[in-house]
Amino acid sequence: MVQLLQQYEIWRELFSPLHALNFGIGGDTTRHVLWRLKNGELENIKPKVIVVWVGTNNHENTAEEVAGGIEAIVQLINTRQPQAKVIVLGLLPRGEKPNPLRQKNAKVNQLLKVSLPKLANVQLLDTDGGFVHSDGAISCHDMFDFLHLTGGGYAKICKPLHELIMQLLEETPEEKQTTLA
Amino acid sequence: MSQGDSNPAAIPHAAEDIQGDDRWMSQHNRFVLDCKDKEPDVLFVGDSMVQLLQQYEIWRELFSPLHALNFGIGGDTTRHVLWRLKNGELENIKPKVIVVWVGTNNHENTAEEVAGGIEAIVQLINTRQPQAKVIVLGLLPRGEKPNPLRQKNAKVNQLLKVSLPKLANVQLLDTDGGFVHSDGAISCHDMFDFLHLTGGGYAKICKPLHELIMQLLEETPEEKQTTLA
Repeated sequence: MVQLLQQYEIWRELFSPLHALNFGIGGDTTRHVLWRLKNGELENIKPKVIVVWVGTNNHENTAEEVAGGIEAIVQLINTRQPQAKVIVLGLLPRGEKPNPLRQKNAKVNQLLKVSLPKLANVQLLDTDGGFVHSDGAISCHDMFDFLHLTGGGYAKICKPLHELIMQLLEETPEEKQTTLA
Repeated sequence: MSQGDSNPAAIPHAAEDIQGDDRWMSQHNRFVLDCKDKEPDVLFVGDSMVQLLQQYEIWRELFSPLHALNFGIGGDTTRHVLWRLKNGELENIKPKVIVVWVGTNNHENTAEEVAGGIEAIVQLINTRQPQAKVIVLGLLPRGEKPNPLRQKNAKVNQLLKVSLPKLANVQLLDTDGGFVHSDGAISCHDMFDFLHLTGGGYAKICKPLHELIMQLLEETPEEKQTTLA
């Protein structure tokens, strides 16, 4: 979900100007992200905001385990990057029609809603996006394969995300340089 | 060894719903519905290389005006494409050109088997859509540095170069794209994950592809209506 975002125009419009880097890898689970963050991807940098979006590929784990994996990522970031404000994006619904994975992803979000407030410097951004219509269907105009977002689908998520990032960047105390390129 | 029971890559096979959201079948069903509603002049069928193309601006610029439909599904092998084409995705339509791009995901097959699977797809199209001119796109190199899959994909292309001329109404478009640099490396500016193309990467492939499609559309005898919207 993170990786593909960089391929759309919206990345260049909203996030490149904020000096953003994209460390998404397709197919990754919480385990892969944890390994990457522990093995160099948090070295030599000092980002003000870190956006985490992972969990939909954790097919071998329960919702509780997935939420725990995301919490572990946040805790790792808190340790290595104490100055960074973390935004955890909620998992999106998937599949054309209602199915068990939608319930699982929603359960992960519910669990995070309870657990994340107990951690430091992190908030959950659970944007619905309005992807699920009244008949329970998701449109291929929002998710071209009923999992990955189209440009239009990303726009629905990125608007609130961008606003939140801007808010957090403005809150950053020292270094009041203009961060916008 | 081109089709039938002797080539595993040529045996049609629907994807199983392992993850639980049945997305593969949803996508297939949507394509079958498209066949009932729409009248494409150009049909693209294959794996994620085809599917992702539709997400970039270049699709709208070059292919939408040609009344093109995109039947790509990420992860598909020759077996999946064969199954889909046999089960509705060639019904009710009469495209003038069909672009086939599949094979890079056939990890359980040898280069010979993959080439045979692609040939089986072409033969199926010849039978069901005899009026359609087929363009088979060569498999692209993959991976940041030289690796066995590059050699395998190149081997598939070599085999097709020899075998496709023996079939009717089909040509191989083996665009190099210049993706592999002199040091053997592929850039993430062309392939963001060293497999899937960026917008810039697609532009390099789509230019010659678009030219060839235009050429084939102009050669189409009857119905000399303007096909460009």
